[in-house]
Amino acid sequence: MTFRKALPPAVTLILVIAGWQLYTVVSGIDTWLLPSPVDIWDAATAQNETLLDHTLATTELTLYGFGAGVATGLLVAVLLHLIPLLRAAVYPLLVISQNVPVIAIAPLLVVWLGFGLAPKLVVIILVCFFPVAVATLDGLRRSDPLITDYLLMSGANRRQLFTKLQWPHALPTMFSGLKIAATYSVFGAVISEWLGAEKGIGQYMMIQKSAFRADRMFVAIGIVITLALVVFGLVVLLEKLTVKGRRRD
Amino acid sequence: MTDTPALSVANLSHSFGDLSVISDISLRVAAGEFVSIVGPSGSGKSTLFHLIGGLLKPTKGDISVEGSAARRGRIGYMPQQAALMPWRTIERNVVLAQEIKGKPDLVLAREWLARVGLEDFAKAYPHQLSGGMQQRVAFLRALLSDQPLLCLDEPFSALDAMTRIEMHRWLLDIWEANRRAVLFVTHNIEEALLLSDTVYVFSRRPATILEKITIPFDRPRRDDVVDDPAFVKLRRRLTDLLTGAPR
Repeated sequence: MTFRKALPPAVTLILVIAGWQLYTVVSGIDTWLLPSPVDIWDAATAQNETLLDHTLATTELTLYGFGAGVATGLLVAVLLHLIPLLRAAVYPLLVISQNVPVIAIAPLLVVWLGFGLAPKLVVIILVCFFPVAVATLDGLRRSDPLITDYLLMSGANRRQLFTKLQWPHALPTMFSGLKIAATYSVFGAVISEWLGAEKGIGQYMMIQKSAFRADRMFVAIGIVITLALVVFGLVVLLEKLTVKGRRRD
Repeated sequence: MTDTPALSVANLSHSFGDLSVISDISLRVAAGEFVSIVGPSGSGKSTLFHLIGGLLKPTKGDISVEGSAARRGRIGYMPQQAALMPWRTIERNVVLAQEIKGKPDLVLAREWLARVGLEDFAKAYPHQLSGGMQQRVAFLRALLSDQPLLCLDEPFSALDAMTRIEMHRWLLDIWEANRRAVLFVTHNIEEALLLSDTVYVFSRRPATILEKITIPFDRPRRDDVVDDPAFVKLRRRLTDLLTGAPR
């Protein structure tokens, strides 16, 4: 993003924060109800080490979950693409299954899998795999029919059609799915930590909620946003490195 | 060299369900011959290519490419749109057909790119090239596929008139120096007369052959052949044939 493009949203953000600070000072609202940005900053710097600990735990969980979710999504996409019968049988159900809120099945996962890493990973996989699977499947199916004909007439077999055309063609769409999954994965990690965890930003939030520490909850929210942006940024970087030669749009 | 024709089509008919697209067509392309098919749009020309390329099985009749029945992977094909892969560099696009056969030759590809004035674009991506340049790349891809027969499906129809004339000269120069068997489909009469040794005139759907014309002009063909009275007469004749006017 260029400076010229980054400036307007940055100014908006600064204005919002300034307005927020002004409101808390003028209205004299209680800190436990709505802390001012300065209060939040103080709360963050006062707990440096603890926060770092929690953040690292959540980051680790996020990355494991994101990796597993993406792998699942890609596997589902490729299988459904290569086996049309499977696609016909499974795809509609897959779409419907997305109406089940993950937060509603999460407690069930704890009953089945306990409080360890397993149910947390499953929660993240559940929120991550779908956007990746749908985006990739779409990309795989929509490759240029002209190039498909060309390759077939040139004697390409199914494997070559997949590796030389369908897969590279699906990459940009796959990355759209990955970007959605990247933000979902952080949110999935935090939710899974609400279920019960020894460490992590989600667990930290639950404790601060019980203590009515709104300032610290805002700190946690800030960390979640930052983490989501970092994972998103990693995906964008990976996209820049792998997707070549397309018209910038 | 044997005198096995590069392509021989005998009593070919094809229909999609009840829709008859090609009806009893016979034609041949000798080794090193440039043969064109002229016909109105939608006269089953693309279907003919799909049959020759082995994408479709003919309803009736036989097609043989260099003496054996048509199957996939026997022709160098250049489609109507360049159909280059946007994520591959130009040189990687040129070797695509070779790659499918298992032996990409990048050195040869660069040599040919230089020969057609595209050496600076070897590492560029297709979207950085103009339409005419993309068609040259698509032609090289077909040429370097090293197949006995080149099939060009209205390759210049999407280009503007000026570029088209440039491309005719370009194609003539390359082809006259290399003499591969070519089957060229177009709905542009002048283009067919200028480039070919033999022209088949197709009717509207279902396509039948209205006439086979042997072009009398020498090789290498000069640009001003289009002003030759014989050329003008032929063009008139083909126009009448295709528009259905009385002969």
